[in-house]
Amino acid sequence: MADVTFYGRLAVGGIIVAWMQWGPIAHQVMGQRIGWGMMTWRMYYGAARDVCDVRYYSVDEAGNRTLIDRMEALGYDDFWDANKRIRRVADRTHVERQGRTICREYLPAGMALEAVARCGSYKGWVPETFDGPLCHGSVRPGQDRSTRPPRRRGGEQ
Amino acid sequence: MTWLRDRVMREGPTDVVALMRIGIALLVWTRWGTQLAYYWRPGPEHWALDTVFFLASTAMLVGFWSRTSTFITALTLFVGWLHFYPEHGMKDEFEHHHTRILMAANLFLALTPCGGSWSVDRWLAIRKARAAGAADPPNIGSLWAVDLIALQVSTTYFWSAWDKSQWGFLSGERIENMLVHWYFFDYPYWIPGFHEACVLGAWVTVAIEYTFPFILFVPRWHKWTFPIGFLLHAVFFVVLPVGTFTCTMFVLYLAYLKPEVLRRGIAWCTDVEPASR
Repeated sequence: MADVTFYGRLAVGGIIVAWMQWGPIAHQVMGQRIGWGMMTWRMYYGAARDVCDVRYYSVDEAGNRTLIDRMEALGYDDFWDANKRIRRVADRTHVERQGRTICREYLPAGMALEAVARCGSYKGWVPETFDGPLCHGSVRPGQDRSTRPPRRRGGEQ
Repeated sequence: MTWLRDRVMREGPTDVVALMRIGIALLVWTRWGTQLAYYWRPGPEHWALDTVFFLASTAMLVGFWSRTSTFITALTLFVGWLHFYPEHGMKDEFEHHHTRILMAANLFLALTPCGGSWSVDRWLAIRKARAAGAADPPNIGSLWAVDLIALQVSTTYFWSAWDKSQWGFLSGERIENMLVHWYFFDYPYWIPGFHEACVLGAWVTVAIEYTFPFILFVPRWHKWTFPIGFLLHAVFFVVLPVGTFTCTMFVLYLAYLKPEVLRRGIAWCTDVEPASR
């Protein structure tokens, strides 16, 4: 009877251990599509991919580059006043969209805007390359941001 | 082979599985209490699942028909994962490693005498024995399936480390991604040594996750591994959106503990001799 119990438990335990390990082996080692009822353990695989490290530079006609304070250029005196979706740049499209806002509302005419960006992925930071400047400034003298109404918390960019 | 036989046939105090039963039942409620409530997805199929889930998990918590109720609770969660996720689009509710480990542990717990202590089952057993003029039944039982729970925790650690064993993580960049995503929003160039700290964090995390699956099985190292593990998961709890995962791991660490040690600890804390309970 003890033998039946022992081998019975061994069989049940063996099946469970095989099930436990097969999912990760098939998916994480062999790269197979995960089967029905199989578990895998990929933690933070998809997390924090929608984030970019971006720096905007104004470039004058002589080619001199100057780092721009992104939040100031977007009209926020205090970084923490901005909506999270403005503070955090999600992807390449977002980099370009914020760049256009900066060109339209902050960058003086005659200046170009360049961006150096890298975005999060499973493999870490992946550089984003842009062909030339993102856009050109269109703010005329007397039309600079000091004449714009201050942005409110969570306002549109 | 003798070692394996001893391990598979071992018996011990049931406090450890009873505490896991109570802990997991509460965690299951915390994790799915909202998503399996009647208002979440109104419809007959969902309501049926909700009803079974709440009846079974309540019985599991109080320890009434403990094994059966624990099994049925696990079954409802697997039905949620394998049917309601693909068929009803309930991905957020069921398809996550934090939920899968809870489901698996719940299932394996049904293979243990989890109603042997701290339960209505135990109270009924004592009442029946006393009515018959017999001594209180001993609260010991077969604990072979506790090793399956421990193995599940080790599996989670090991394969999680395996997944992190790629340059994106080991370079510290994945941790940077997360910290920038959740905290800084812009890369914190103003923090000296930020990158180096992330690299260190990545290597320490992977080292712990590769070694813990094995050394947690060594009782004499528990005085080191338990505090480190608890601290690691506590930090995860407050800095990352891990939800119930930290508390799940706290409860499941019990699977590595010698049941006799736990019983002595409970006796020491409650000032009651184990034999008299």
